[in-house]
Formats: sequence, structure tokens, C-alpha cells
Amino acid sequence: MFQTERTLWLAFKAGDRRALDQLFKTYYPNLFRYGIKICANADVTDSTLQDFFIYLFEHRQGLSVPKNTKAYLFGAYRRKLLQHLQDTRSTRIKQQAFRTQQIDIQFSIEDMVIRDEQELHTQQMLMRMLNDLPKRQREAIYLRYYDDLDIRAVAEVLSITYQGTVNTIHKAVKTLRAHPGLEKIVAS
Amino acid sequence: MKNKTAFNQIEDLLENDSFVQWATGETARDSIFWEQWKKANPDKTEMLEDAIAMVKGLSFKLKDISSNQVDTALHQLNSRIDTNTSTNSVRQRFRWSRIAIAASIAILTCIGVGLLYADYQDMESYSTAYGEWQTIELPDGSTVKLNADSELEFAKNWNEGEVREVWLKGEAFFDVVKMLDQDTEFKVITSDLDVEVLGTSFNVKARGEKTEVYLEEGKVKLDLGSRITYMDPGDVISYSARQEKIVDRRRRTSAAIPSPSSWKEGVIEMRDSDAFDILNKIEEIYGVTMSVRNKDIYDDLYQVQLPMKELDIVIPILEKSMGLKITKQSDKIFFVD
Repeated sequence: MFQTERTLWLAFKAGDRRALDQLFKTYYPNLFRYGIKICANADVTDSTLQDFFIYLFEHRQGLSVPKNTKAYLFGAYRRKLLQHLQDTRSTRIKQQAFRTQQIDIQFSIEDMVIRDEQELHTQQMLMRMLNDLPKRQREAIYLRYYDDLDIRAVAEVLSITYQGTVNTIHKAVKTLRAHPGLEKIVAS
Repeated sequence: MKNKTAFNQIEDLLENDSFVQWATGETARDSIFWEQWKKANPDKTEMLEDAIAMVKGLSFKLKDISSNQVDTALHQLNSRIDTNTSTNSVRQRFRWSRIAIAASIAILTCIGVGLLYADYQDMESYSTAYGEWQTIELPDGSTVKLNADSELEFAKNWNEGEVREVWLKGEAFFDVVKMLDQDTEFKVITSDLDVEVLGTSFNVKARGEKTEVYLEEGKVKLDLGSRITYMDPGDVISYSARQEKIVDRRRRTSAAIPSPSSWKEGVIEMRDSDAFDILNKIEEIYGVTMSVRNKDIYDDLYQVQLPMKELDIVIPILEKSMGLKITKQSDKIFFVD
């Protein structure tokens, strides 16, 4: 096992297949969850992810060492998947990429943490409020809190500025906190 | 707390390690400092609370991805790479058995996946050529009038209770039926924005680098990606995703002002319009080039009412109402004098 992201990446660049395995195993689950949110299709997500890693492996020598591996992989895979959706003809999923820059992430009740009956109600409300947010705020919230990327990493994935990302997440959190019943969920 | 930075912006807090640790409750080390700071800066209470909320964030339940799924995908990946690049004879020997195992696992996975995502479906697609119009009935009984040179797509089957989605390139007028059961949303998606409604009638024009929405009646929500805005009857909003801004926002205050959706009645009506807008419209609908040789025509404003018929019929009416001479140069090019 490679201990740091840097050694892992350098080994990957050198063509070490164990590094490829480790990179794939480490990031496949998160990227798969993200892909499913983007295209709503498990087959497409799985096959584009494999294509993506093959692409990385074939182009490994030209890749620089990313500052943040996870952010790099999320951003690069997002572009690859959108490109694929754009090129696919006559299926519903193609249409998800109609607008290339904006992803329509929908939160479902399975995404919510529900321990008891009382929580069910607030979490349903939270889910509705989340899905009512503008798309970019929704995706930023997803990346920041669902996938635990820091703000700089979110900015990298969305290709927007750091300041823009702070504002986007701030607006979303403000909207959620202003809603009666949700003050505690997004607690201060 | 050694760092004596002024915390004026929310990011000053978000980037401060001491603050983040205090907000998450990881350590009580600087809690006295932050409690005091809070008291000393009552005008920044809201910012502080927002920052704490942003640091604490939301908790989600992560979708379970089985290690079996990851392994299968990895097997497939590796065998694909081996097939492409292998020169290694040992690997060569193992390859086929690995593919066989991977394939059988893959088939099993695909069956499961297929069942889960069976609702993903085929699309119905309509398009109009230049100078052509079409009325389409949607699966829910709503009607769409598709203007010339436009394209509409939607799923073949609409499930009850699911958002009704259509994709538009070009221009269309929508008359959306409100669902009896409840609040089943109807969504028109263009390359710039989403128009979200329950039941209402409106015109959407997605051409060039912007989308214009005109609301005739009812209420409409526009998702512009980075923000949301609402429309009232008579509102006209144009948004460009590329410029990330509303490029035009106005209200049609009286019935005397020509409606952006007048084309659906088979008439193009323009009042107090300049020649540029009118000729542009003709170019847009018929896919022709109107080459203006007499630039003086741009100085005047015109009223025109054109039937939506073949271009041969429209040209003489245009000449008469604008007092111009239009000469056909070829099928696609006209000179305007």
C-alpha cells in the first residue's frame, strides 16, 4: 500500500499496476456515487468510470501530480462523463447533459440520515429544501458535505473561483437555516 | 489564539484553523477567545453563525457500494488494460480465465442494475424545418406549438407523480395541464435555464446564446443554475448561461403591446420595431439571409403583421408594409433596398 497521495500518484505515473489498483479501489465508490447522481444510470456510471481510469492510465506519463487527488479525479471524471452524455444519442441520459456546465443533482430520502420518526419529518423537509436550491448550490452542497471535499476542492471540481464557491455554499446554508424547522439541522 | 487577523469576511473565519476546530467542537482550546470575539462583535453575529453552520455542515447517508462491485469493476478494468497493452506471456495465459470470471460477475451485476434502473427510457423527438410549424400533444395532455427550426424531446412514457420533463432547442409555446393528483411539476429545459411550472401557458425561445421566457398566465419558476427567479403573467425574461446573467427583463403591460407568443396564432406581429429586428425574425423563421443594401431603412420604426405562410407570400406583404424593395438573389439570399 502506498502511504501518501504523492507516492501513490508517482507510482501510478511510473506504470505500477498496484498503484492503479489502489487508486481505483480508493476512489471508485465516491466517484460512482457522484456519477449516479449526474446521470441516474449505474451501467453508464460504471463503464464511464472504467473508461476514465483507462484513459488516466494510458496518459499517465503526461499527468502532473495533483495537489488534491480527490478533487482532481472528481473534476476530470465530471468532464469525461458530461462529454460522454453529450455524445450519446437518443436516450434520456443524454439530455441530462443538455446544459454542459450545470448538473441537476437530486437528493433522495435514501441520502438523508434518519434515526427515528421525528427525524424523518425534518429530513424530508430538508430534502425538499435542498432540491429547491439552484443547481450549482445543490452540486456544491453535494460535493462539500456529501463527499466531504473542502471548499478549494469544490471550486476545482466546479471550475469556479474560491470566492464564488464560498458565496455559493454560504447562500445555500443561509437559505436552509432561514427555513422554520431547519435551524437546528444546519445548526450553529 | 495568536493570530490577530481581523475577521471581516466569512472566508476569514472559514480559513482559520482555530475557528474551524472551535466550530466543530474538536477542541475547547480557543473557546474563550471566540466567545469573547462573539461578544465584542455583535454586528457580526449572523456571519459567525453562518460560518459555524458552514463548518458543521450537513450529514448525509452515503449510498452503499459493495466491495464486490468495486472488485468486479477493477477486474474488468485490468483485463481491458491487459488486452490493450499486454506483451507479457504469463499475464496472457491468465487473461482469458480472468475475463471469464469478470464477465460472469458482470452479467450478474448487470441483471441487478438493470432491474434497479429499468425506468430509464426512450425519447420521443420532434423537429420543424425552416418555415414549418407543428402542434404536439404531450403524454399528459398538455400541448406544445413548435415554431420553425426548433426541436422538442421528451420521454415516451410519463410516470404518474414524476416531474414532466421536455427539452427544447428553438421556440415553442406551452399550454400545460395542471395534474389533478397534486403538484406534479412540468419542466422545460433549455441550454440556458429550466422553466418549472405546475400548470400554465408560456412561450420559450432558446436561440443563439440566450433563452427568452414569456409568461402568458399562471406562475413560473426559473432555475438559472446559480439562482432562482419567479415570473408573473406578462413578464419577459432573457437569460444567457454563457454570460451568467439576465440580459433582458421587461413586462408586457397591455394587450396593445405585441405578444412574444403571437406567432402561435399564425401571425408575426411587431410594432415600433426597427428593420433589424424584423429582418432578423424573417431570417430566423425561414433560414434565409436578408442582405440590406440601403442602410437608411434602419432609421425608421415599422409596424408589421405577417401571416406565417410560405416566404413567397410573406415577402410582398413585408415590402408593402415596410415600403421596401426586396429582391430574390438565390433560394437563401435576398437583397433589401
